Amino acid sequence: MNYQILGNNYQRKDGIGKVTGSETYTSDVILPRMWHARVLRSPYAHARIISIDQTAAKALGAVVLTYADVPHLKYNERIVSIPPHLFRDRTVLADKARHVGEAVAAVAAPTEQLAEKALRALKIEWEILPHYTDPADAQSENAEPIHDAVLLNGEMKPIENNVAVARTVNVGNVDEGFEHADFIFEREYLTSRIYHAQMETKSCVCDPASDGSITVYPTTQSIHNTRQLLGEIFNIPLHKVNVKRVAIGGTFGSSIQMNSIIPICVALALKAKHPVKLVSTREEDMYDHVRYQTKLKLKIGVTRDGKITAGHIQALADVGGHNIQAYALLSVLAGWSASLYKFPHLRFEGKAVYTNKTPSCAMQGFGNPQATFAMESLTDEIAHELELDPIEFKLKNYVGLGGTFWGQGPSVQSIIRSDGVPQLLHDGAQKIGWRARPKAGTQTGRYRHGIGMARGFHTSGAGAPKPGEVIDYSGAFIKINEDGTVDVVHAMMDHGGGTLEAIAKIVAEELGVPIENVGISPADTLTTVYDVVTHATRGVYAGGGAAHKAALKVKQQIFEYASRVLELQADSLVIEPDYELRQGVIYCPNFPERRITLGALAKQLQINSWGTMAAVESLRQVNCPPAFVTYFIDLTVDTETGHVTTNRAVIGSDCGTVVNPAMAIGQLEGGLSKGVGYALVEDNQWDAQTGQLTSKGFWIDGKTPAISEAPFNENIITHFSDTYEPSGPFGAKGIGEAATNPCAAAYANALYNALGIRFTELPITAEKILRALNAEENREARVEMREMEAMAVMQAAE
Amino acid sequence: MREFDLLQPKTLNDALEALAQNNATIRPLGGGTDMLVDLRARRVQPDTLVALQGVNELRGVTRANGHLHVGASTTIAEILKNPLFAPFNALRQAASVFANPMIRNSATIAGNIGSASPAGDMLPPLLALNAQIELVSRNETRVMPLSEFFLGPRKTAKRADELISSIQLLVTSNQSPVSNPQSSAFYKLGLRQADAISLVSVAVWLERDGEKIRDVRIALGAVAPRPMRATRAEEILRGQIFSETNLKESARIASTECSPISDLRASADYRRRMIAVYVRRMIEQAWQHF
Repeated sequence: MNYQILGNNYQRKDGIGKVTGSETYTSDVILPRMWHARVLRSPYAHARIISIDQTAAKALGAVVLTYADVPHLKYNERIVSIPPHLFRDRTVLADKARHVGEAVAAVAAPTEQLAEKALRALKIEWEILPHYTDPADAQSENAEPIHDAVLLNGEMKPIENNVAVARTVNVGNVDEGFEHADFIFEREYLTSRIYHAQMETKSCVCDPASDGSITVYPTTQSIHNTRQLLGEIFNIPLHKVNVKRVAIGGTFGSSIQMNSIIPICVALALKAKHPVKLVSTREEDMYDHVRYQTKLKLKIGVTRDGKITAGHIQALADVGGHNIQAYALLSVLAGWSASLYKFPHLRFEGKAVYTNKTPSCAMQGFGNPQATFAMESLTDEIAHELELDPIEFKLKNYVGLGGTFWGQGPSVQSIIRSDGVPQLLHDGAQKIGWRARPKAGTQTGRYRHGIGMARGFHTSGAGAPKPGEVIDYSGAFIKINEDGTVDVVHAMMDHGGGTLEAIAKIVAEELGVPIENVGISPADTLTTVYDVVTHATRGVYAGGGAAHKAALKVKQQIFEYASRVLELQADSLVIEPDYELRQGVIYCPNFPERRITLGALAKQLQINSWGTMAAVESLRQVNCPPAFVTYFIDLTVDTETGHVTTNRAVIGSDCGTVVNPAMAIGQLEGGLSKGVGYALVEDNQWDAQTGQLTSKGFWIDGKTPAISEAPFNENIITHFSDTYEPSGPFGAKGIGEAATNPCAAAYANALYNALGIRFTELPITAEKILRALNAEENREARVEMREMEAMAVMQAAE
Repeated sequence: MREFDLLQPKTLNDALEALAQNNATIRPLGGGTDMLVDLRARRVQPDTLVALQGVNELRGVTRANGHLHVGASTTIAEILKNPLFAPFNALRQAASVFANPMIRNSATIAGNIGSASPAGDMLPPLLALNAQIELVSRNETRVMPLSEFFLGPRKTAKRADELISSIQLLVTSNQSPVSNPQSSAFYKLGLRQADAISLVSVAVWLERDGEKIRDVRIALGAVAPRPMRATRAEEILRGQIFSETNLKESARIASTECSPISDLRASADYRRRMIAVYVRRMIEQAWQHF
C-alpha cells in the first residue's frame, strides 16, 4: 500500500514540550487556593483500626479523613469488566489494612509541610491480625479472612478461604488427548511480582466548585472510567464531574483506570472546599501496584512426530490485598497460554488467592509475559526432547491464517486474518544465525554462548466478534476548522508510545491533509465521547479505528460541499495533501484544473453559512487481531559469576501496517528493556515476618536494569512483517504489550542453549545461574564417581 | 522527617565550636546524600545539623611532602576530574561507579567514610591504598590509619565533637627510579552496573619487584560488618612470584576470611564466591596495569 502520511516519521506533536520540561503533568498543576494532601498508610500487613486520634492534626489546621468520613460504597478501580464479573472490594479509605501501605487516613493542609506534620500527629490504635504472604497459607483452613465478602453485581458475595475467584475451562476431553500422546511433559513455572516502575508516581489534583461540581487532573489511563467511578462513589451527576487529560509519565498498566489515590484526593477537596493536590512518593507508589505473580503448571502431550494431543494448564495467581482484575486474569492466562498452538483437547484450571501484599494489577502484557514464559519454555524443551527444531515444532502446531484464535481466552476469540508469524520466524532466524547456534550443553570454559527464541503476541483490544465479558469501544469527534486545519477530539490517553500521534496520522491520511494541519485537542470528559481505556494494545487499532470512522464521515461531507462549489460529482472527487500550499486539495482526477483547498472550502462554508464539516462516531472493533512478536536472543554467560551479557536481540513485529515506524521500533526496544528486567533482574520480595517489601519500597533495591546494560542500538535489530489487518484502520493493529511478552522465554531458551540447563523461575539472576551451574557440575561429578565405582567393581569382579 | 536546626558555619573553628558545645544529637552534614535519606527514613533524628559546605579549610586537594592531602569536602566527582588522583587507579575506578553523576557531584569523601557503611564504595580502595585519616576537634588533631577508624556497621572511632578534616595518601610514581612500580584496581559488583549498592567490592594494591609481588594489600567491601583487609590472602602473595597457583590460593583464602551475610541482594555463599572471583581478577588487572 502507498500512503501519504502513514509509515513516515514526523516530529512528535508533544515532543518539544516533553524534552524541554514544559509539558504539564499532574504534579505541575497548580491552582489558586490549592491545598496539599498526605496519606496515612498502614505499617502493618493486616490490621484492624480501633481508633484514630485526630485532635492534634486538626489543631494544626488540617482537614482529616478516615473511613468514617468517606462513602462506604465498595468499588473496583477498573470498570471494564461487565457488572456480573466486576468484583468490588475496596473503599476510598480502608476500614482495615489488608497490606502494608494501604491508605487508612488522609489529611489536607495549606502547605505540604503542614500536611506532613498533621499526618505525623495522627495517632492510630491497631488490632494486629494474622497476615499471609504466601497464597498457600492464605488458603489454609483456619486462616483469617482478608475479605469477608465482596460486592458483585449489586450483591455481597462471601469469600471463602481467601480465594478471590476460580475458573475452569474445558475443551474436548483431555484424558482422551493424553491417551493419544507418545510423550507427556510436565513442568511448573514461577514468575516474580515486580513493580511497574513507571516514571511518574500516581498523582491527582481535584478542584471542587461551589455548585457541587468537581474538576479532576489525575494520572490515569482512562478519563471516562475515572469520571464514572467518581460520580458513583460521591453521588455526583456525571455532567458535574469533569476529568481532564493531563500528560502521563508512563504507566505500564499502573494507572489502569481510577488510581486509589484519586478518590482520596476528591474526598479531601470536597471536605476542605479547596483544590487539593496529592502526589505519591516513590515508596508509596511501590506499595500500590505490582505485576501478578503466577505459578503455572503445564502438562502437554505430544506424539512421536511432534503433534500436540492435549494440554492441561493449572494457574495460581497471587492477588494481593485487593482484587483488581483476577477474574479477567484467569481468562487471559488460559488464552495467552493456549492461543498459538492447536490443542485438540485442553483443560484450564485457575485460582486467584488473596494475600496481605500490594494489590496485583495488569502490567504490560496482563498475564501474558507469565504465560508466554511458561509456554514458550516448555515448547522449546519438547522440541529439543523430540530432536526437532523449535521453530519447526512451533509452526507444526501453529493455528495460522484463518484459524480461530483464543486471544484473551475462551470468551474473546477472533479469526486470524493477518499473520506475519512464518515471515518473522524466517527473517529472525536468518538475522540471528539460528542454524549456526551452538548445540545445547556442549560448551565448556568460562564464557558460554547461547541463542534462544520465543514467540508471543497480544490481542489488539478486547473486542471480540461475540459480546464478551469486557467493555471495549472508542469514540472520536473530528471537525474541519475554517482554515482547513483539523481538530481531533479523542478521549484516549497516550502513555508515551505515540497513540495520539498515530490517531492524528490516520485522520490526516484519510482526509488527505498534511499532518501538521491535524491537531489533537486537549481532552476532558465534558467534551469527548466515551473511550474505554488505553490498555490491551488497543490504542491504534480501536482508538485509531474510531477516529478513522469519524474521518470517513467528515470526508463524505467534504466531497459533498466541494461538489457544490466545484460543480462536479462528489463521487468523482479526491483529496490529497499539497505540501507547497500546506493544505489538503480537493479535485477530480479527470478535471485536475478545477480544484479547491480544504481551507478555501471551509471558509466558503462559513461565508455561505452552510455549517461546519464535523462528525462524531463511536466504534466497537470486532476482531481483536493478535499482534505477533518474535524474539531471538544471543547472549553470553560468564560461568564464574553467572553474569549474562546480551550480545544481540532480533525482535520481529507483526503490527499490520506500521503507522509510526520510529515509535514502533521504540516500542520493541522498550519491550526488550522491560523484558530483560523481568527475565534476569527484577524481584520484589516480601518479608514473611513483617509483610513488608524487603526493599521497604526504596528504589535502591527495587532495581530495573541500567541503560549501561542494554545492548547498543546496532545490536538491537528490529524487523516488521508485510501484513495488512483487514479489520484495522489502514491495516494496522497493535504492538505495545506484544513487544515485551516473549522476552523472558527467549532468555530462558538462550540460557538453555548456552548451558544445557532449564530455568523455570523468574528472575533468572546471576546467583541462580551460578547455583544451577554448580548443581549441574556436582551432578556430573556424582555420575562420574558412580561410573568409576562401577568400573572398579567390574574390575574387581574380573 | 522531623525538624532540626541547621547551622552553616563559615570557618572550621565555628564548626568545631558548635560540635563541642552540643550534645550527641548534633551531626555534621557533608554532601547530604546519605543524611537526607537517613533523615527521611528516620534512621537518624538529630536536633542539629552542621553544614560544612561553607567551611573553606575542609576543601582542596594538595600534594606536599610525598603525600596527597584530600580535603574532607572533596566530592566524588572531583576525584574523577582532578589529575592529582591519577596515580590512584582503584580510587578513580570506585569514584566512576559511585552511585550516579548527580550524587557524585554532591557526595564527599569524608561523608562516605563517616557514614561507615560496610558497602561504602570509596572505603576498600582507601584501605588498599593505606590511607590515613585526620580528625580535628576544638582541642586536638589526631591522625590514624583508616584501617583503625571503622569499628562496625556505621560505627567509627570519631567522637561526636570531631570532624574528619582530611585524608592522606602516600604518593609514589611509576616514573620514580627509587621506588618500585605500584598499581591498584577496584571492582564493585552490584545487582546492576550503575547506581547500585555493592554485593561485594574488592580493591587491591600491588608493588612489583621484577616477577615478584613485593607487597600487596587487598581490601573487601560489603562482606563483613566493616570494610576489611584480607591479610591472610595478602600473605600468600607477599614476596612471591606472580603465579596462577598463588593467585587462586590467595583468592580462596580471601573468600574464607570474610564474613558476609545473606540479605535481599545476595546470599552469603554467593558473596564468598564472588570475593574469590574478583580478588583474582583485580590482582590480575593490577598486575597487567604495570
